[in-house]
Amino acid sequence: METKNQFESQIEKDIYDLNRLGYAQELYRTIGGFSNFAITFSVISILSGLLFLYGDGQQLAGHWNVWTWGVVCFFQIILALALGEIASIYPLAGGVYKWTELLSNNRSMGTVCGYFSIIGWIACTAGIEFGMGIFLTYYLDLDYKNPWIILGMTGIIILLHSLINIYGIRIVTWFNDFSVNVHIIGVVILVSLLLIFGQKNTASNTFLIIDKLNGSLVAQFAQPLLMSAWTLMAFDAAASVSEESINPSKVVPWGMFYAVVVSAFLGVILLISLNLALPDLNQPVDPEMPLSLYVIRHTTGPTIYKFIMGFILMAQFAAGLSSQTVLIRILYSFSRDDGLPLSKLWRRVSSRYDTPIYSVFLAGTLTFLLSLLTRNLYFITSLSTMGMYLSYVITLGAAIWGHQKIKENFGAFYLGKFGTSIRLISFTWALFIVGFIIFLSFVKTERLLWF
Amino acid sequence: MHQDKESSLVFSNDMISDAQNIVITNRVAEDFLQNQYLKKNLDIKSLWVLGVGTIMAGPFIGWNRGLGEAGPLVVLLALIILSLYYFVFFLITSKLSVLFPYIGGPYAYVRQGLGAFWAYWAGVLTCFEFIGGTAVVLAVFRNYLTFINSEYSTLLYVGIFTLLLINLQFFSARIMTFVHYCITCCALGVLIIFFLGTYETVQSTNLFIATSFSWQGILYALPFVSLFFLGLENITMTAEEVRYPERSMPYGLYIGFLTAVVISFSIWYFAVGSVNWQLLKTSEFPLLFTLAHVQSEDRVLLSIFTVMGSVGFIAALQGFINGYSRQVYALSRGGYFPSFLSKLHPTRKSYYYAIIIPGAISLALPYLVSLDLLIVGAFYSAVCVHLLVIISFIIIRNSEPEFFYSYKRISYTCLLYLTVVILMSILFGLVDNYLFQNWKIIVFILTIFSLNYFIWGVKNIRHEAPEEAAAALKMRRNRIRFLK
Repeated sequence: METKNQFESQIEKDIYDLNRLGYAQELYRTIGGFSNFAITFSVISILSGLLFLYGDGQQLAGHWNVWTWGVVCFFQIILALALGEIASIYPLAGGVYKWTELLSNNRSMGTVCGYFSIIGWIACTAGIEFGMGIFLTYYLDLDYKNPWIILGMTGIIILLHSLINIYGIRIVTWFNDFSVNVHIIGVVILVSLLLIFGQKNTASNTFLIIDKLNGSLVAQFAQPLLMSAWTLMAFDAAASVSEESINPSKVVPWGMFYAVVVSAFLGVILLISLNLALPDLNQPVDPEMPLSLYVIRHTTGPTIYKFIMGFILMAQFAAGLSSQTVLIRILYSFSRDDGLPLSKLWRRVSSRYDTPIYSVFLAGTLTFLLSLLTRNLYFITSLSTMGMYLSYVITLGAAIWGHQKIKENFGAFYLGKFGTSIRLISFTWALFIVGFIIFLSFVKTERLLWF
Repeated sequence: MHQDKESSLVFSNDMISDAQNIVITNRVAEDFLQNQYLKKNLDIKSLWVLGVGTIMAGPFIGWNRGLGEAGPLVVLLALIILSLYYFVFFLITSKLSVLFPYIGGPYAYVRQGLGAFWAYWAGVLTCFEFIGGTAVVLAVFRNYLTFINSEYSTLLYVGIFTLLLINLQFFSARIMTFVHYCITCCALGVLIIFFLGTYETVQSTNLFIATSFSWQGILYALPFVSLFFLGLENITMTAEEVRYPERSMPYGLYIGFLTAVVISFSIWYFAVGSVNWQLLKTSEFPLLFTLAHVQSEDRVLLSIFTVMGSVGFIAALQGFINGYSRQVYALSRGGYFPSFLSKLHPTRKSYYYAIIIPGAISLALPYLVSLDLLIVGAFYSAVCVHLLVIISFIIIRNSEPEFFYSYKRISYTCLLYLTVVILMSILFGLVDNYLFQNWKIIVFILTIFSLNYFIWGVKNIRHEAPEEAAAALKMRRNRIRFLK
């Protein structure tokens, strides 16, 4: 009984805090700490991002990806801390664009940030769904050289995600929790198999990189940067469900932080085991086949490959679903503030299903259009990374500018005297990633070969 | 209603006063409640784990002996018959377990329908089924470990069994169920690997091969094919520890049954369809044999399957231990077995003597009795229990029709009597096939346990035990109905 009272009084306090920020409580507060972590962890999804882009420049950079991953993890954790502190002060559904608006007292700046965030989330969702389309085409032994088949698969995945988002919000919640289990079990099984049956390289060969410099140090580091930066972003997903979380001031920042830390840890293990199992790349390899699939299939044989791919595809499906759910919430939230053309339509909530049904259509259509027009995973992921990190740059810029507000209104997650330095480092890091992606887009035909 | 502070084991005031009318005082009933309550920790997932975990060894062992001389189609027919009568059994236990949510399971249901003597035998036969099942799994597990590594096999299997016993005693039901859940999921994963490894090699000529059909062949196949389902009744013995039995019990039973049906028919399709049944029927480990036959080049697959296959045995062992310990505890709590067997640990509420002593017996059994006899004995016991429960159900339904409104349809009645006929046929068929050859053992066991009932049991029945109190309550209701 006492626990129930504590629970109810916490919800009352959350509603009071939301009213204080000028918003009414419209959504049900049901999401606890674990589910909040689950949403973020599911969107980060190392079994999606890391496996999709594992082969990105692998032949050039060799095993540098572990070191790049380590550096990116370090800065992403700092970035999560900086954004977590802001999320703790403003636990609002809009996420970064709301934070920017409130920190800068400038609605236009918030709107610009929101647009970048939406571009990032559309491309992020499209990236996961298109990447899964590629993997599914391989898994089903279909003609993977025909882009229309991959697009067809992507279309089916988008349709399924949209249907679940329309009809079954409970299934979405279940999928998020399920996704955590699938990711952890999938990584444990995959890593165990790769370590037991796939020792093609020695540990020293995997970690010692001085003698393998192929071009400049910058080129070696930058080569797997997209993989690491794209995989470990989008942790602000936790913020999109702030208005449905219990005690969001605490659980949202911690959800973001733990999701990045756990993903970073599991990711490094997965990368090392993939590198150890990497066969001789001088032998003929199908250039169209994702390198991660090649390594897994080569190591485990056709039957176990099919089994482990079941886990990987389930994890990717759950990641795509979570990503689409977050995108829908951002679209809904943005249109609630009249930030989008035809906002009245996108914010309309179906009385039958209790979901913003037109936002679901919009999200599904935009992600499919992006996949259709580009048909290029690298382009989609680059666009996603650029959009998302640009929104972080704007938010962190507003936070540095309005640091006094953070000091005065700090929430349950406060960085204290380290706050200023952490915000500055995060801002520089996000700016660096944006610069890198813009730079990369100029050389996308011959990726970094001229370094 | 009377409810203990920590437990939610509920005795109605009616039940207490009724028991009071017969033999016991209120104080005795309250003392009993204080000392014998079990924690309510189980939900639908736990029930599914208990049921499906127990049958996880079945696909890996012995079922292929049912192929005998009659072939795949006879095994398919045996599977259909078994599925049908297990379906009927679960249909009625889903109702009985809600009406009588006690740990005794079959003993509790038969107690209401056929009285103390048959209830005692239902309990004893359930113990035989589960102790026999444990012994079967242990015997094959020992052989399996010998196949993997002959040097340490005995040490390993005794070690694993002891660890399981310790796990059941020293950890809470929640941890125990979590461990069982993980092991069961691993075992299901191994089965999925088997399906993935064989689905391209299935040939209809292997499945639908023309062989001579005979009822003898089906009777011969039934005990071995029953390994797919043996121990699934475990779910019925958990009702006392389930949080919301009205909802959880039927769901747990149906989902568990459905999983068993899917597994058994899939194994038949993929294993029998991939290799010639004449080769398969003599194999000790049919799934491993099939996989080695069709995927001999894939060393990674065979290594993983061989090592991970052992988790099926571990899941089944944990399920069988759960089953026999619950039944022994219930019989001891009811006064039919010595009372020390129902002694509970003060904090963990585990019934450690009911776990250890039958465990030691099942460890010794494979050294004393042949594997075939153990399988047939366990199956025969299960069939007897099912028959007793179905007959009890018919009697309870007829005497208290107000509780069984939806079960009065003619289709249900036909299904019930059809199942009784099937079970009787199996019983008589098995007597002819196997049990005449071992009549001395059977007579010895019957004599010992009947003597135990008449000399010890009758005098010590504890009317305050929930199964007994519920029977007294029913008797009272019938008396009132008769007087009216």
